[in-house]
Amino acid sequence: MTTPCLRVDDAARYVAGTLPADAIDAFEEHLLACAVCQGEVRVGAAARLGLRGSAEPLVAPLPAPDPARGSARLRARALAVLGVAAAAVLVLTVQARRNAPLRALAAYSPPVFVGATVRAASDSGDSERAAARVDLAMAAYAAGDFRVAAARLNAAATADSTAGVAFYLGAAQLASGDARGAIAAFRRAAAVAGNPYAEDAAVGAAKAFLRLGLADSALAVLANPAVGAAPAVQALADSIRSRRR
Amino acid sequence: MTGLQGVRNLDAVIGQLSAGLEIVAIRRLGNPDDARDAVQETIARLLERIRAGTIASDDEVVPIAWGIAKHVIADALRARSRETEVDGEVALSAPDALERLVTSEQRAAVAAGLAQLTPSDRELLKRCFVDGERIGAIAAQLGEPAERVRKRKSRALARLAAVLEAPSRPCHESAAPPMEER
Repeated sequence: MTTPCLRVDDAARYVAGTLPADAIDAFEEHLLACAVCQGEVRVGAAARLGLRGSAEPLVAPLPAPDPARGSARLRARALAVLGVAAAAVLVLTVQARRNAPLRALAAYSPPVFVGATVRAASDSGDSERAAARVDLAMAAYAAGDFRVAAARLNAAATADSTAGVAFYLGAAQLASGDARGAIAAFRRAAAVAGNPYAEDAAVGAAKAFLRLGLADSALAVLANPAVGAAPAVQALADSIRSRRR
Repeated sequence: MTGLQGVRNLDAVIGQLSAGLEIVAIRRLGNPDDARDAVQETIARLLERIRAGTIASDDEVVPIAWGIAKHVIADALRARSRETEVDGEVALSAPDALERLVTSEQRAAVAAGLAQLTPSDRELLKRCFVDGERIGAIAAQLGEPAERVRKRKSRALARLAAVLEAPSRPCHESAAPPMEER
């Protein structure tokens, strides 16, 4: 007989992220000593991964049996396996449909660059070279060549840490399909307090998370108090919440 | 009694602590490599304390380990903020970070495991682990006793665990009578 664990719901809400903040410390201390809750969290995390809908493919094993050479028993087993695989495909299809509204929110149109100064003022040879790289990058950006713009801005960002460079780097990366790179860049753009790119950077980072299928992370970015009151930020957060219901 | 003799079943204690610390560290740090480092550092400091004789019994191990772990994780987060995402690592929200506990082999099996469940069981797991609803609230909405819903969730989770070949003995799977019936 095992001792019952009274944390019946806490492990699930810990996995889902709905356990209140003031209860997390106590639950985590409990978790260190509770093997049953550890198991619940691990399997629950896998369940969440499969059920929330993920951009990462969840590959169901689909063996390719050769019925002509197998016995009737083997054929029956093969059909059973195929039945499971077909059901798995059905689950994935349902998940994909459920995820479709969130994928629509991940659509991103890079902001139009109107020729404003993006780079830091140059006052030395090194920074002049960095500024020239930024200018070249923004020329590619304005021409719609986001992959080239991202590569040039990425190189420029090593010498120029201004919010503008980070923001347009994020925009170019997201537009050219590099969601993870875009998240890091947008976060740098939003980290500088009081800069004009912060709100758009938060929206961009959230859309990059949505593209990766990580709606909770998108909402976490949008919940940042420094930008959370902005209408565009609130609107995207509301849309994510309503489409997940 | 002091030192290593003060803590009985040291290997078992450390093994269980390490498994729990891994979960906590991944959730807080979002990066399996950082989490692994944090677990090792925590266990190393804990063993130092045990060897020094400052931990006298099993009962003291978990609270002390938890205190050490919080310091180690806070140090890792401070170091990361100084590095300011030099490596482009993406920090995840806590629920998304926990999914990094799922191995690549398990990821491949998750869909098949879920496909073996009934639609209502999948929906129940979704309401628990994705939406974070309480069993009591789900049961009230379904018009079923909470204990019945709890057992259904437990069985569904156990079936999924069997497919994943992961340990699963959910908290509420117990021979003891449920709280509501006592």
